[in-house]
Amino acid sequence: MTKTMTCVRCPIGCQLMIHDNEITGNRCKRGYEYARQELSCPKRLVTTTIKTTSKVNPRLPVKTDDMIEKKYVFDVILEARKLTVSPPVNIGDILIENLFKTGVNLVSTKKIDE
Amino acid sequence: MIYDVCVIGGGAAGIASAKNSYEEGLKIRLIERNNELGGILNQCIHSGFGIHHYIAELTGPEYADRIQNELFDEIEVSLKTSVIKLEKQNNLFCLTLSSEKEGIYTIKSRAVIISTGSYERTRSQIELPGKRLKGIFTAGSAQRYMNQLGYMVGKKVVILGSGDIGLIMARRMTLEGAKVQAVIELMKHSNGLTRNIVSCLEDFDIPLYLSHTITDVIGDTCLKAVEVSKVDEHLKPLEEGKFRIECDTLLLSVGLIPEISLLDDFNLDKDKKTKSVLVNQTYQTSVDGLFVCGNSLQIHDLVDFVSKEAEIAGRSARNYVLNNEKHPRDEQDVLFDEHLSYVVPQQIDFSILKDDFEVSFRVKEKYEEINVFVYQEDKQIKNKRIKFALPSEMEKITIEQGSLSSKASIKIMVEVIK
Repeated sequence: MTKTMTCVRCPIGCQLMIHDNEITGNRCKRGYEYARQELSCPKRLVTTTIKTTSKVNPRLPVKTDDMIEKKYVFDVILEARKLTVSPPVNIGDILIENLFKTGVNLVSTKKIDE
Repeated sequence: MIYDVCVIGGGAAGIASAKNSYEEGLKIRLIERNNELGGILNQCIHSGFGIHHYIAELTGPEYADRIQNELFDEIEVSLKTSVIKLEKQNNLFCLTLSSEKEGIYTIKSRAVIISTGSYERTRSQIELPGKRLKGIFTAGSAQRYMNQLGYMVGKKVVILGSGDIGLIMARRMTLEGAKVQAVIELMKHSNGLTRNIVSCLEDFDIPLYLSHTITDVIGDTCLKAVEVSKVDEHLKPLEEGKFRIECDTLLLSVGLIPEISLLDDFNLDKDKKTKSVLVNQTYQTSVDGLFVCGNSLQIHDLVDFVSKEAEIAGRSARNYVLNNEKHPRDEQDVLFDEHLSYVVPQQIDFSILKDDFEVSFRVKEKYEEINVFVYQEDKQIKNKRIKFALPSEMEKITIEQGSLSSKASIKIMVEVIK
């Protein structure tokens, strides 16, 4: 069976064709690597917000500090929903360590003082 | 007290232009109506900012933080302050400011940079038919409600328009547990960046209906469904094949328009396509000392390009103040052929042409490969090959100052290869 996907490593957006593990349609090495990653273990960066006790900033934006396996994306959102933080919080502060034993942390992407 | 440069709007453009207009001894003031700097970046919690500018993939709030940290302490920042009137009297700008703390007062400035961003096209501007039901939002408002205030705006969502904010919101709402039923796009191509189509729609199996539009909204007081119709090549909805999609929320992602209402009284000529004023290569308008940059000049796809444009506007304003650059202008139009929808800057002022400069443009249609030529009086002065030119992605071409051999207008021509 032939599968198609669009490479998103640069704005060109090559249409990649995958047939029997053979990747065609890529114009550069990055397209090949993208398809390999997508086929073997797709990963995503997850961003969401968590609740705070602050009146000025009721939500704190957060992200995973590295790409995490795609199968965990919705679980990251659910874990983040359980948290409430109080200021002060700095950019990069770890809010959840080692999500699902992947080594990836959930970190703050905003500084809130009050 | 008279300021040298006042920057109106403290988003990405305002911060970069304030920073670059500063030089020891100059009085710079950056005015922001919100309680923090950063503008729209603060609600764009997703990642993908700064790839060009910082060679790093940052989220919106992180990009906002970085650029703020680069601001000099000498620049006076006024938060929670709106500029409600801008006038020019005897070579000085007069700004009327309004703030809760200080009331209404005026300040004077030698130069002004407008970096007020843009506003979202609303339902009435696209003549969306039907009743005024609850549950219809612009995508950016919904983004603010969700990401900054923490309100979920709906559970079953249809998005009209495939602009980037709509695509980003499709993913955001899906992640938070909503069912995004469809994205409906009038044109036969998407208006968003390819990477957003893939990572926001295809990743979650959200259908994209190209050449379709919404012809009715259904419900009593709250939205219950939308009626979707295919459109013909003239973008007219077709009677046959109409269908309904159930939803409680409709998000509109149908374009941004530069916010330049502060300039209304100046009665400046406008560019029909960008819907902003005309500028020369220093981003100066036809009013001496008045500069415009960022989304209030032209709608950008990437904040990186906003920062770059604003740096030039900032430096231009500084040069204007330092050199007291009131001079007879020697301006010529930047002309372009039918393949392009607009160019910015629209003019070149040869009397102050000291540096190379960039011309931004968009193609009208999707091309696999084009050759862009710049001519001055039948002489080709620049050539750039572009692969995959899309209307949704702004392109740029650098014009080297040394390549201009006269003070005649330049023309940008496109040869379609395939």
